[in-house]
Amino acid sequence: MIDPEPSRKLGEALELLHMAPSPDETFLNALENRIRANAREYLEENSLLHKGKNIWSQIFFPDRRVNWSLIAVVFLTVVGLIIFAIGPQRVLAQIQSLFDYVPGVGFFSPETARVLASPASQTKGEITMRVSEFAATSERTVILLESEGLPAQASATPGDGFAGNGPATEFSARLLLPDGTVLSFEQGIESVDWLTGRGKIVLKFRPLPPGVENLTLEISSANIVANRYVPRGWRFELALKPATAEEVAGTLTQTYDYSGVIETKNGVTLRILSVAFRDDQTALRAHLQWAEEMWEFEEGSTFLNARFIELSDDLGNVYEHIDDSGGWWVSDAEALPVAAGDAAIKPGARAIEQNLIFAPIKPGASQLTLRVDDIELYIPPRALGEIAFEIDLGENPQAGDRWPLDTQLNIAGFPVHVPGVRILEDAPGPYWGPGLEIEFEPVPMQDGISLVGYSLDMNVIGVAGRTLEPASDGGFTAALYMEDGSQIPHGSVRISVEDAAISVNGPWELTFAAPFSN
Amino acid sequence: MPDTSLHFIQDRSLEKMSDDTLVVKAHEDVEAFAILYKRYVQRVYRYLYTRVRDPEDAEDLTSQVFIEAFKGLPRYRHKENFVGWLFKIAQRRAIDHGRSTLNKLSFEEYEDRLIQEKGPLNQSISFESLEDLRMLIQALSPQQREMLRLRFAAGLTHSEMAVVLNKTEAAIKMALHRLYRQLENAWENEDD
Repeated sequence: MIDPEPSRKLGEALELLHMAPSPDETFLNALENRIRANAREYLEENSLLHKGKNIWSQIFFPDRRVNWSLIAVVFLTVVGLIIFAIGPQRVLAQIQSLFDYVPGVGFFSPETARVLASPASQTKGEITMRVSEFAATSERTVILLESEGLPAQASATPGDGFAGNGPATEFSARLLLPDGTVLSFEQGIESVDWLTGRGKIVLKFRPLPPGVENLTLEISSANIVANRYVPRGWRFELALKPATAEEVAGTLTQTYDYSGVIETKNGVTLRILSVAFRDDQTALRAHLQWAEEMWEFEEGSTFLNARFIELSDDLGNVYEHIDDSGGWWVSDAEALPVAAGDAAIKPGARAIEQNLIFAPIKPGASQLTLRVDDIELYIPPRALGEIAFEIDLGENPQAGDRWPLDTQLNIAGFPVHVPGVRILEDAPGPYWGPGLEIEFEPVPMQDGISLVGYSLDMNVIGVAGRTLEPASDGGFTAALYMEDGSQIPHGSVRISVEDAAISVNGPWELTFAAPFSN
Repeated sequence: MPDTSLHFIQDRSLEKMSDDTLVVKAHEDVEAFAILYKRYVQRVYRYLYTRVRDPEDAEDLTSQVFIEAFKGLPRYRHKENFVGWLFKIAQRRAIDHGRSTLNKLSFEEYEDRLIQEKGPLNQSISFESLEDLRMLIQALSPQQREMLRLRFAAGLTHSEMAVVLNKTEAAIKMALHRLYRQLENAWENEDD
């Protein structure tokens, strides 16, 4: 189709009517500086959260932006080089290693992939510590220790144990290899349930060199064992065995599986996709999905921020909701299969994802609960259809005049009664002229969904603005204001509803284990 | 000195890059996003101004749009049409703003301000005739008014408008064709 063009006169007039002053140069420069500063800060944070060498970041936030064409080129180049360098007889094995990718663990080669040949444990007094999981790949070495018999008194010891809520203050562990090499730990995360006296520690080390079959794990001190009720100096002789990709995956990925953390309320399913725990923050990636095609999430909206979102733990701690940077984005989220037996949401429904950032989890927490009270969604004009009513204001309406009505509207399936309209006596602001107030009676909640707002318009020239405020009876009072200096509208006017907002009521309460707590 | 010249060369090369290339680079390079900002800030501001008719609000919304856009870059789909994507954010921000705030500037103030900045309006079109057209536009549907804003205030192409309005480019062209004819006929009748 040829590009449509208005006539020259209409084009000029439209340009005149849509002219806008240039933005202030000072503002432009200030905003540029602010964006540069914010962007720099954001990139640094993003780099730490998403791209650092932190194992938890890599496990929980694998980079989703994959340049497949680049990967294909690199892959073909690598294959070519391998064939050229080592000959076809070994190519198959090398390609096999390239494809040995374990979700949550990464690429690894069979030479370095190791798991425990058998669990190793040590007992001191009432306390037993056991190395229950071990996974070594070409990228990292991760060890899971479980402890039993931790004395309840230890929980009441301030300052030097888990009872304190501060960050880890003393933690030291290392791996001793047969050739004398020492690998210091890079990261450790602890969790303990003082009621049962059970705790867990996950340690991350650098990759092992190829061919290691035996090694020693030493934990000279850790918060979980630095407590004066817990002996120090734990040592474990570990026997390893070669592992397949499946064995490594089975060893570790189950620890981080949050797929079962899901709840559906009133047609909206909230689930937690992944969680990253760091010293400075806790990041949850939440996924929201609904079947109703009429509902949308307003991209860039901040509705959810105003809603009640809380992360708490089983110790009664409530974690501050620091940030939800990244916003909700409809475009990227995929609809996920829903839990068995959940018929409310079908795959293919609308879906969005968001990172929710909270304060760091305090030591000792073993269960976390994310609570979201309600979620506001938007119904755009195209989904709402045409909703309007007309009223004859007469030829000489005066401020204070009221017209009783018995108008029934249907807004997104909600019956909305309009009992009256009146001319307002005072404008609420300096730029506003006379206003027309439209009364709306309370709209009852339907199936857990409330109508919480709508935008109105009027087919009168000079409408300068609109308000919608909750009325004391639970309904709404909406007003359309004319430009300052305008006349009160007269004659027959048509008032239309342009879009609407609904609130899907929860609460959604998702309880999940802090990592390593089970 | 070598650093300065190198920086200059880098900036020049960034300026020549396509939007999509800059988006990719912006994940690691603040300068790349700064180029996108400079490329579109005026158009975003103008669009927002025509929606809110208040310079301070337009500035505030413009800030929000670019900060939101930067944070949303990881969610931007390659070759999605960056301009359309950016204005979609601007549109949402303006809708959000419209719910809670009134348009603060009367048409006369708005026009006065334009005259101060741009000089007298086109003399070939009388004020009365322009006012007639403005009344016709006010009577259009919100979607039609938005199309005109995106086309004439933001200067979007038809394909960019299609992204913002969730329609095909052909549908946008057809709708605009009908809208122009509708306005021309009605405007002509008003003149008569």
